[in-house]
Amino acid sequence: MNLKESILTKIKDEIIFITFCTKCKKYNWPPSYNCKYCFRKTILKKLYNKGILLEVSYSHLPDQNNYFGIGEFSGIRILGMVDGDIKINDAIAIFKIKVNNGRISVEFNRLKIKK
Amino acid sequence: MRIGIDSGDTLENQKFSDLTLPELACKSIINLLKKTKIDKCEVDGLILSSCSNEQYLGNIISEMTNLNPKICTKVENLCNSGTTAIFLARSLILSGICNAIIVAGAEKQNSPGNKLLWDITRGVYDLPIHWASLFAKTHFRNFNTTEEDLALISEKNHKNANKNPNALFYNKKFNFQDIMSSKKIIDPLKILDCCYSCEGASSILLVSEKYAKKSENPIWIRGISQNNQGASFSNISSDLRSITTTKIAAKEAFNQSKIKPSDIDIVELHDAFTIMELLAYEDIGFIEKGKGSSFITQDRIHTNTRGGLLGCGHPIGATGIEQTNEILLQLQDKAPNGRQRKNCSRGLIHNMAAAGTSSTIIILEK
Repeated sequence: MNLKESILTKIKDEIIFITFCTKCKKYNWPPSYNCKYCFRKTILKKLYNKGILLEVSYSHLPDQNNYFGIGEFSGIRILGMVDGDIKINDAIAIFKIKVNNGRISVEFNRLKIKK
Repeated sequence: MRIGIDSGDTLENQKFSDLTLPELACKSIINLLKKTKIDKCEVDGLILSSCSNEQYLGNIISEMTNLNPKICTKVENLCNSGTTAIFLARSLILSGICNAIIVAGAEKQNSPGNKLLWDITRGVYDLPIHWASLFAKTHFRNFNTTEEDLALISEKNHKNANKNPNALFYNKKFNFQDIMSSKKIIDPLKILDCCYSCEGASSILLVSEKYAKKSENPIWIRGISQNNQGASFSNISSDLRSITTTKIAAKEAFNQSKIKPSDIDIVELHDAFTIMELLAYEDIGFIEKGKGSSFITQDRIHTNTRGGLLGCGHPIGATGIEQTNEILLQLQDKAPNGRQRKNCSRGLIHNMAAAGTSSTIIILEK
């Protein structure tokens, strides 16, 4: 099993494991056995699933009639489905993540901040 | 040493062609060889630009055209393949290894170049229009750009394509209203904001200064630069207001050529989507960031006179060569069908790939 397959098989609910360099303290994305900054071996580490929404758009494609956006999570940027009421720079969380035809299918929701 | 472009050729872009990829490339090369005064046996390099997975294409085409070059290979750099091949050909001549190199681009619809499957950061939103729409949304939000602004770009390029028999949309006329009312695909982009992938071939002959003496009307490469920022959309998406690679490549190309953006008379911009042409105005430096929409109607520089990718279609590996051939024709005062622009002495080509992760800028001069 290669690294990509390994990451895809570990995906469950809102959890995704990403390659992480313990020396640089950085996630490496797309996944890599060696850190792209220092070339040391990476480990698989659970991605902190809270981040912010950078941009959003709406797809009118027949099989994809929904809002989608790009979210940033600990420096990792991923495209996923969002609700229409989420705004740019809103705090978001990875709500659902699954594998769809070998592609990572992600849903973000707005993070409720306790006052 | 100066590197010249002797001549070029572009076939008609088609949705589907009966010809195979090698046949398409050979047809364009044979047309080119009929135009040039450089003898076939003097051609000592052949570089094919294509995203095809077919094996050993450079040598197959070399055999089919009876060329026996010193160097023969295929280059693949997605949509930026064509100008990457020109970049390498120029370097080979500059190094003294070769004197005359044919760069040919060819593509079929079954090419895997339409989608970068490796980039899993895009999730299920993996079509080029997904990233293009995010660039557009960012520009709209930050700089009050509108759908009407983008429609003006589409209208201009489709109108230019009506003077180019090689363009996919040569016979199709679209006015502003047609574009504004065309089907929305992904906000804010409509179907007529997007280019179509197609089949086609184009070739160009680069020569050393010594060989250029045989040319009737050589055009000189004054500057050429490429920048690459990885492959995945996640790598470049921290700033969706600009195409970073285009900015860097343009700056370097202008430094090399010791001229300014205002010295350019004519440009071929990589308008895979209307928003990318608007971003290119700003990132190449024709106008300041955020003012791209006001540049569309200023008529300061001739843009995409052959119709751009929007009007001509996008035969991926051939596109950069088709763009370069248009500037070549314009600078040689040979652009046919009433699309010749007057008094052009310097032209620029902008070619890019995969969400702008790679861009090339070429500056040509009479």
